[in-house]
Amino acid sequence: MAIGLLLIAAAAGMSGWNIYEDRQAGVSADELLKVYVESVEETQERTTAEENQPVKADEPEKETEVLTEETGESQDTEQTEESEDHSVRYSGENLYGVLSVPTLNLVLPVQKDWSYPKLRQTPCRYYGSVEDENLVVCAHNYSSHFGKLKNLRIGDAITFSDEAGENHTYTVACVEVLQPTAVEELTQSEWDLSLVTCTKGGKTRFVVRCEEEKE
Amino acid sequence: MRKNKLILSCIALLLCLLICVPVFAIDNVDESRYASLIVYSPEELKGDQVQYSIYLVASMDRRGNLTTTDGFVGCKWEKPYMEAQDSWGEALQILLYWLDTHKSIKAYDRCIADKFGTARFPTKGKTLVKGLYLVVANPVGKSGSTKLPAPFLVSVPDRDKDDNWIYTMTAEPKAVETSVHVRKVWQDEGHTEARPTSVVATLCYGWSNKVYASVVLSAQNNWMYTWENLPAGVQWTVIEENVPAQYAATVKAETGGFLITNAYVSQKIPQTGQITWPIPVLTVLGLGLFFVGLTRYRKNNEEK
Repeated sequence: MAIGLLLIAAAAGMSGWNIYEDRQAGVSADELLKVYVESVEETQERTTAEENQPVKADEPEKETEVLTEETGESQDTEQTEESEDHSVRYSGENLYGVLSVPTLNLVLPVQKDWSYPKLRQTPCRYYGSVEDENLVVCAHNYSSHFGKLKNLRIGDAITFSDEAGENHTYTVACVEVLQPTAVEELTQSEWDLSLVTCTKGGKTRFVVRCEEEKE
Repeated sequence: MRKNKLILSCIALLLCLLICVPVFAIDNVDESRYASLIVYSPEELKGDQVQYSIYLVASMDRRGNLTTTDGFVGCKWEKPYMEAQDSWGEALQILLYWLDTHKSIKAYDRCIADKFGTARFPTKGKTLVKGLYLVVANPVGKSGSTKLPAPFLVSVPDRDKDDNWIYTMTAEPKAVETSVHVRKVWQDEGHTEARPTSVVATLCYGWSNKVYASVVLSAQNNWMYTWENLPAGVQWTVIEENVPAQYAATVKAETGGFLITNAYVSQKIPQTGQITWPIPVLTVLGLGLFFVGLTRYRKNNEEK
């Protein structure tokens, strides 16, 4: 009888721990979301301040200028290519962007790299990027993270705001269940965005595949 | 009367011909005109000793048509050049690659820029053949600068916006870097045991992906390297050879070079489920044992 009670207590303890972990994950996500929002606002304020400063005249970006003898007019012979600045513009934890799923009432920050400790806080970027149109985001099946993913329907909208605050809109195209070893199938696909979490019991992986809406 | 009409007709015909001839003559290159090219070095490089070499890619006939010279036959620069509208970028890359891989091609003329950074062609004793030239700059002696004037293509003569031929062309190339760096970062927190001790990064001509040079990156060189004294103006790319298993490599251009990021890709999709299966098992077992124990206890009490 005592052993029976002990086992019941262990089950209750485990259940309680799962509920606690779920709630903590929700709190961590909210805190990190605040940091992201503050940082984006700060970046936007800085950008507005820079735009309001007097503008200096820019010289045209050309590698070579060929002038004619008589008219002195220039003809381009080559255009300079400038590389873009993809550096992170905000401080705070390792944030990659914010995922928003209106039909599930979910707004979650996504961390740039994944590890098991990080997954306990927020969804994490597992593979790819927004720019390369092959982003894979994984998260625990907590109710505050990806636990409700199974309720998504084809055609539902999902928004991802990247580091610079730029919004990318996706549409759910299909869902599938993969084996845990199907890493290549998960990452080497043509889908612009994939959301992945464990099914109940953790034996397989539930994947939502999305296409980006191009303007 | 008839004779007068005939004379008038001949005069009219002659006048027509005289009007037409100048129209046809405007389109042709004047072969008697002297062609020349003046190159002005970029302001920041005017103190450096720079030698400009010009390579005759194609000669021009009086109609302005170009014919590839022997040294550049097989190069296949013509199509991108003709299609390019106002930009000769691709044709230039093709020619630079060709020049770098065919060392036997001799320059048509060379000139060291004077103290004002000006080089004039043709040099003394030479005549500039009308045609399309590839102009390339090289340092004279050891230079402290990592920059050179950008190479360029120039047609001598060329037409202006009114379609008139201009026989003295001038050019002001911009300064471009002659070094490219590569650096590697690892995104494998918690999985560093899978990281190899070194990787090979290869610098390639962007247009053709042909290999120019390779380097081994490791912790000893902090996973970074800079290639120096490269041919100026070439659009480079970098690739990583034999990307290690369990990693996915992405290459991005950054100022002055490239960043290779190796992200760890696990052998299994992460376990992102809470452990719940023991709960019902423990509950059922616990309840079972509890009721078994309770039943035994009651039986014992009844027997007593």
